[in-house]
Amino acid sequence: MASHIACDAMSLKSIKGGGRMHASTGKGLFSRWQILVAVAPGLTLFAIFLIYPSLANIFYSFTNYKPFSMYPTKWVWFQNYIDLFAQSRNLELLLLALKNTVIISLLVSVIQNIMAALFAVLLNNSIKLRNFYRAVIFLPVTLGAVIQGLVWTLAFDPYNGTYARILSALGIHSTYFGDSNIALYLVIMIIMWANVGFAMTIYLAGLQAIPMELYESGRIDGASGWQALRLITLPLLRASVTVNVLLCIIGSINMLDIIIVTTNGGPGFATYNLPFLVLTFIMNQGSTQGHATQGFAAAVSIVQFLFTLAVVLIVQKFLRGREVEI
Amino acid sequence: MKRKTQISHFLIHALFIIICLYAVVPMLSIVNVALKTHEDFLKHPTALTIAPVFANFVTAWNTANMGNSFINSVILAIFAPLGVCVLSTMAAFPICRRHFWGADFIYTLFVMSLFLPTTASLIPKIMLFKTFHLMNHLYGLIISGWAGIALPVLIMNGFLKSIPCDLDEAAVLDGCGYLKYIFRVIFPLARPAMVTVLIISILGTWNDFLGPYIYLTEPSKRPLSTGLYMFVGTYSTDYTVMCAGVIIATTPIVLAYVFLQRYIISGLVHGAVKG
Repeated sequence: MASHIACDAMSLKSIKGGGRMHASTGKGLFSRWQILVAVAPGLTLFAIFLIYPSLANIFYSFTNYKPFSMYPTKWVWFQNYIDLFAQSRNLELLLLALKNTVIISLLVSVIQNIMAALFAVLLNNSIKLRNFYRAVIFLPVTLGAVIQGLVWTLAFDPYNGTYARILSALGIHSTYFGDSNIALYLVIMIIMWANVGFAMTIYLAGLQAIPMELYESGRIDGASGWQALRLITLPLLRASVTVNVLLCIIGSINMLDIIIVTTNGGPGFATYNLPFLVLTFIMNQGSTQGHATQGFAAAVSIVQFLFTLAVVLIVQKFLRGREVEI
Repeated sequence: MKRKTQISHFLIHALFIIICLYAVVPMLSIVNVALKTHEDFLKHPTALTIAPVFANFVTAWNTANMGNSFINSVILAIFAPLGVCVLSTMAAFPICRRHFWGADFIYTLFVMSLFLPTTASLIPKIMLFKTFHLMNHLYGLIISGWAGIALPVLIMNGFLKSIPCDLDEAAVLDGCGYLKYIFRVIFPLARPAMVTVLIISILGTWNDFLGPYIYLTEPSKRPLSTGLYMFVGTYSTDYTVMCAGVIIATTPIVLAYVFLQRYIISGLVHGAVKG
């Protein structure tokens, strides 16, 4: 109570004395405890449910932590990381997951961005029905992973699915999500189907930011439509490319829910990616992988995080260097 | 010249009709199957349904206990977004105005946290849920949802910058307290940004799969997303009923999208680009 009054007195003094000094920020005008009350609830929850778990995860990765077990948790230094890279079974799984992760993020980032940019450029023209097309292409974005995944697994159900029936009538037989050769590519197709509308809308926003005068002066200089696209539109769209590619890479490296819903990692290990590998280690601790403790799972998730970070930093540096300012 | 543009317009329309079919036909094919009786489905699995039957929807609603999961979804999608909206606006104002020591650091922390993969905090979070007995309680997921203020704070921050600081000063001179100022002045002014935050948050909560998948494993506590996933996983004998279940779960989102399309698109995209 006393401190409350003191704080109020201080703020009063600052109004009378140096009030104008702080006018630009308003700092010191308000009582400090009320500022803390405003920030504290959000920050506390953020610290408890995000900061603490992330830091604790790093800590766990250096221990043999196993919840509710009778063995005491020991600090094992880099043993988990050594186990991951030195034991052939673990390394095999890790490399497999890494390969799938790279295939997913590479194909999704490239194909989805080309499609999205193409759609955006075409729909930026004044053609009829363009708002309808935009709305329909964006629709899958809003559906959420379960429905996105289930719609396609049901359509490609090998016995009953409409798509599977039609394809088998055309002479193509497959078990689709049960076929280890194509399951991964079907998952990639679903991810692109689910996100292309989103990327397209970001490109559309980027296109609308390009000033019309550039096109007009281009026309006066005799540029054809194709030249305007190549020399004006594409260079000025590079900031949107950066945003889209980065979102795409982060999203597809960490893609987990669609994989759980459609294939659950299978058939075999055909659609294991890094996050799914971490999840299996977390859920099946000790059952399939003899020694898999939570500490080990934590170590794998740290490897996944470092991989994401490295890729994002490299790609960002590469793309930012190519952006053009208007 | 005119002829040329006509041809190119025709090609563009042809392309987009194909794209739109690609976008919606899987869903329509499922609607088509869901409207068939089982016998009709066995005889003509892919043919267009002429006489629609709604029995599958009733069966799906009852066997999947969808009324229950629907209520769970609604509870989650009301309380988590409201909390996020209030907490993030309250936190964003002091951060935006740099009203406390370390605001810059907190801001950077929020930006960095967006790059964290879910799996990187999963294990300690599960332990946290277990120690605080939040597992299998809706309020557990709601409270942990309130922690997701990073992106909302960044969106609010961008918006609050446009509110002039002179207003703060005027409020102080009129003797308005800080919290009163936030609730009475900032909240109404920041309504457009709060709508964006609400939309992102409601869609995110409604569509969230991993959260309920990990923290709400009890059947009676499942929201629509995991409820539907489990239903299709375990009830794999009657294909038409499964399709009906998927359609039931899809309908609310599609309806919301049809009516609030502009807000949803701009909200989602605005949010992601700010982040």
